[in-house]
Amino acid sequence: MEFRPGVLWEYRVFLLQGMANTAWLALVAQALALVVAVPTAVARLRGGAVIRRLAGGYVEFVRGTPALTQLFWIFYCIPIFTGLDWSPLWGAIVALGLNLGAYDAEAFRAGIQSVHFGQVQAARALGLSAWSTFWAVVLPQATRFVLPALLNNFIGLLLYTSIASTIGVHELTYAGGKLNTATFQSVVVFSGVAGLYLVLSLIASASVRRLERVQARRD
Amino acid sequence: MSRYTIDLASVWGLREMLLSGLLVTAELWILALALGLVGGLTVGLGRLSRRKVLAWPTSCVIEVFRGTPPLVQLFWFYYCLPILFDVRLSAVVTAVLSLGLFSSAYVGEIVRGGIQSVHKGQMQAARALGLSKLQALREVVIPQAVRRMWPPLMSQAVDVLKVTALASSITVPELMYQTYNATSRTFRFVEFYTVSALIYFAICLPLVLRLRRLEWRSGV
Repeated sequence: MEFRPGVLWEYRVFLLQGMANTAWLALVAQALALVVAVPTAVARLRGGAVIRRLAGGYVEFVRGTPALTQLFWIFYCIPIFTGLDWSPLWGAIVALGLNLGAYDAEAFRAGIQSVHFGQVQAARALGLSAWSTFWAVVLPQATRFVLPALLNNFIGLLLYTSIASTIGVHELTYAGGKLNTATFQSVVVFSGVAGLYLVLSLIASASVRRLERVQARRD
Repeated sequence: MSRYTIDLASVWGLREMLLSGLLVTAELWILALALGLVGGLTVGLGRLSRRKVLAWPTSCVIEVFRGTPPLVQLFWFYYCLPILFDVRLSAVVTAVLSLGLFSSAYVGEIVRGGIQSVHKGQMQAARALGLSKLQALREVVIPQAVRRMWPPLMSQAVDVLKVTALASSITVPELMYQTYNATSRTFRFVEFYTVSALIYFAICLPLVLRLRRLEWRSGV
C-alpha cells in the first residue's frame, strides 16, 4: 500500500468546504443552545413545580441518552409529527443545539446560583423591574462565571458535529468518508481529517485557557 | 397533518433484535471501560511523571484522543489498522480498542486531576514521617485521590455508554445499529428510536442518580 499525502492537497477545497460546514454547524447549534439554555436554567431555578419538572426532565433525558439517538429521533420523527420536510443540515442543527442546550443549561444554573442574592436585592431596591434585574444584573455576572464551562461545552460540540455525517450533512467527517471511497487512501485521509479537527479543538482550548488566565488576573 | 398512531406491537415483534443489540452494547461498554481504566491510569500517571520520555508521549495520546471526534477515531481504527499493521480485526474488537483508548484519554485526565488535587503537604508530611515515596503514594495520596475521582469517573462511564452508539457506524451490531435496522424493516421510526432512547436512559439513570448523591454529599 502506497501512501499519497498529496490527495489532501489535491482535494483541499473539498475538505475546507467540509471544515467550513463543520464550523457553521457548530456556531448555529451554539446559538440555538444559548436560546434554549438560559430559559431552561431559569425554569429549573424559579419555575413552578410543573415547569421545573419539565425543564429538569429535558436536561436529564438529553444527558442520559446518546447524541446519535437524539439526532436520529429528531431528524426522522419530527417530520412524521409535523409534516415538515427539512434538510439534514437543519435536523443536525436542531438536534445538536438541543443537546448542547441541556449541558449549557446546567452551567447557567450553577452560574445564576453563584450570583449573590444581595445583587438582586440591591437592583430591586434601585427600582429595576424583575426582568431588568435578571437581564442587566444577574445574567451578565452569571455569564462571566460560566464562560469557561460554556466554551468547554462548545469544544465538545465542535467534535460532536461529526455525527451529522451519519444523516448526510456535508461536514468534515462526511467529506473524509467520500474522499476515502474515492481515493482508497484511508490512512492519509482519516489522519488528515483527524488532524484538522485537532487543529480546531486546540485553537478553541487554547482560547479557553487564555480566557481563564485573563479572568484570574482580573479577580 | 395526519394523526399518527403509535404501534408498539412492531417493537415487541422485533424485541429479540433489540435485545441482541443491547447485549453487544453492554459488552462494548464494559470492555471499553475496563480498557479505559487500565489505560487511563497508565497515561494519567505517565503525564504526571517528571521524566520527559514518559510525560511527552502520554500527553500526546491524551491530547489527540480528546481533541478529535470519537466517530473519526472509530473510522480511523476501522480503516487504517488493517492497512498499517496488516491485521484483520472484527468490527467489535476494533470498536473496543478505539473506545477503550478514547476513554483512556479522559480517565487519564481524571487520574491526573485527582492526584494533583491532593495537597502537596500530604506527601511532604508522609515523607517526613519516614514513609518511602511509593508508600506515601499508596497509603496517603492515592486513597484521597480515588475518593475525589469517583464522581468524574462515574460521569465518564455514562459518557462511554453514550459513545458506544457511534460504533453502529462501523457496523458493530449494537443497540443503535439494531434500532436502525429495525426502522428500515418496519418504518416505525418513532417507536423504535423512542424505545431505544429509553433503554439507554434506563441504563444511565441509576448512575446519574448515584452521582447526584455523591456530589451532594461532597458539597460540590
